[in-house]
Amino acid sequence: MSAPLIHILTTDGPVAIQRISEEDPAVSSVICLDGRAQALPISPAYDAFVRSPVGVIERMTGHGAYRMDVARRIDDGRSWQLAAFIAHAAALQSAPTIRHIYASGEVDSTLGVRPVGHIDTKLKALSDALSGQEGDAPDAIILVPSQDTPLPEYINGIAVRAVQTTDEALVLIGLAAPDRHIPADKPARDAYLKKITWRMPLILTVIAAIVFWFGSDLARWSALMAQGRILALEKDMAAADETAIGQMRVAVYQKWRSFSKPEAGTIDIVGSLFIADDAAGCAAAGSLQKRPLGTGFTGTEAICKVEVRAVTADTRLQIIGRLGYWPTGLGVGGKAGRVMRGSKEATGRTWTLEFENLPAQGAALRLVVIAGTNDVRGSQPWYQDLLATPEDSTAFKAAAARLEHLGYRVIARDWRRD
Amino acid sequence: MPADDPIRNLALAAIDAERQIDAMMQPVAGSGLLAFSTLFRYANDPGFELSDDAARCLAKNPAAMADLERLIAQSALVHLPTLAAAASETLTRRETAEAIILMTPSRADPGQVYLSIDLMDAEAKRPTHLFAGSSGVDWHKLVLPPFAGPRTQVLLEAGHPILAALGDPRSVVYLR
Repeated sequence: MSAPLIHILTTDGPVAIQRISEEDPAVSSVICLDGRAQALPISPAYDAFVRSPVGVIERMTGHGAYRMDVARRIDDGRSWQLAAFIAHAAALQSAPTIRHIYASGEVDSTLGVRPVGHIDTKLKALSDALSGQEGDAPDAIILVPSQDTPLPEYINGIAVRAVQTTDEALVLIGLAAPDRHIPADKPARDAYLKKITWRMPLILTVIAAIVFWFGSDLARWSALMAQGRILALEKDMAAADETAIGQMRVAVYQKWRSFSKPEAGTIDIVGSLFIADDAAGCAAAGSLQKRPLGTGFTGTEAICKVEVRAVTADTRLQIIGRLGYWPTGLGVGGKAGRVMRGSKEATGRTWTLEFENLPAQGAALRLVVIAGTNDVRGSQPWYQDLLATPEDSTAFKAAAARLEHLGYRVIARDWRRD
Repeated sequence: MPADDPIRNLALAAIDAERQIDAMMQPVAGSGLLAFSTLFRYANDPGFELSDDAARCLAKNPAAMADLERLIAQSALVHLPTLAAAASETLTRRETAEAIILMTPSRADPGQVYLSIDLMDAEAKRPTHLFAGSSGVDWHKLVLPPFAGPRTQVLLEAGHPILAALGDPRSVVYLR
């Protein structure tokens, strides 16, 4: 995939970031106009945005001087910062899944995205700029700061997403959050480390006591968890559960694992339908229209493809799951027509399902996402119930509970053609 | 009024002086001379550039060039003198106790060069333009962008004449 096209939203329309290049650290960072030897007046502000300790880019990239070329003049303000941050992050990683990115927002030193003015005008200017182009952009996104006033859901078919942090923005475009942040409160952290150092012998004693009490169970269960052999772990714990002391150990281990369970809202699930006027139109990939997945579809068009992404800003988490396709309704017939494992990506997983037999009325999709700090390998019998039964059914709840006891979060999403 | 009246003589002398100043400040058509006011404005007004005719006239007129040099040197904020370097050497850094001038090739575009100026005294008055040249030869002027703290920086095409002048050890540099 080629590099993304990142645009700064301005009141005069989007301004493309043409390239970002490292410069000699002896010079100040500059924003130049269209490759020319013309540094824009906002260059000192860009230099401050780049260079540590105040700037955020050097903290992310480890380099302190850049040249950014833009297609048109940007005269003032700080709303270019979010797009510039994304461009720097994109330059560090493989290409994101979203190709056209339009962004406006100020980035603060904690990588929060602060509101900026004239968002309505900028979106209107973007709409005007795109009006002569194709109405739908399946691989585009508009990122703006969260704000009190309502935002449109789409501009010329491109989803508008409000973000509060740069991590959120990066996840939405399929990039990993940078991991080179130097904590702004380093002195506070140092003080904390100093504070706990003298307590270290006590902490180690408590850990040693726990390890002794658990004996081999802890080591064995931890090894199974690390290997992702969840079914084997479950069986081993079931065996230990037959004695009173074993029950206590299982309860303690499950409690310990619960601390690793991802918080609700940590996983962001976004999906799209790719539709055509009729079945023949599905063959022309370039003419497909993109629609948000939602929970149902009532249109008459042919549904050619579905793409769903589950992503997270928490780089510790593993996301797995299955996408089940039920041609005649959820659970009907006992076996899904297709089950997709999805493909792993830096920030999560993507499931892409191109229909051989286009979904007719009553067809259903069930996505089950399992997120935790460890991967899951081997046989996974719980999917049978997770993919086929209603979320409020006993079977679904029991299957989900098996995983949640081991520190995983289970999320299901349903879609149906009405 | 008697011819030797001191008031009368003073008034006539004043009228005479005004005519002489007017004559000096006006270019003499076809004479190859530059008006002093043009040189004064070129030295002091960052946005004022010599016309092609005036520049040619200046190049042919050693007296005007000497006048310009004196104007440039007058009240300059920073003076960077000639350097005792080999004539073939091209400088990329010039330094005094007041300022450092650095010329750094762009990594992104080898055809462009960053010219940065750092003032040693953070409280010093900020220059608005730079002159570089050699005595009796062409002088080159560059308007400086506003300083950000003690530094200003401008990006130039590698062939810019100011870079050649700054890189010449025989040249003198003034920040005004």
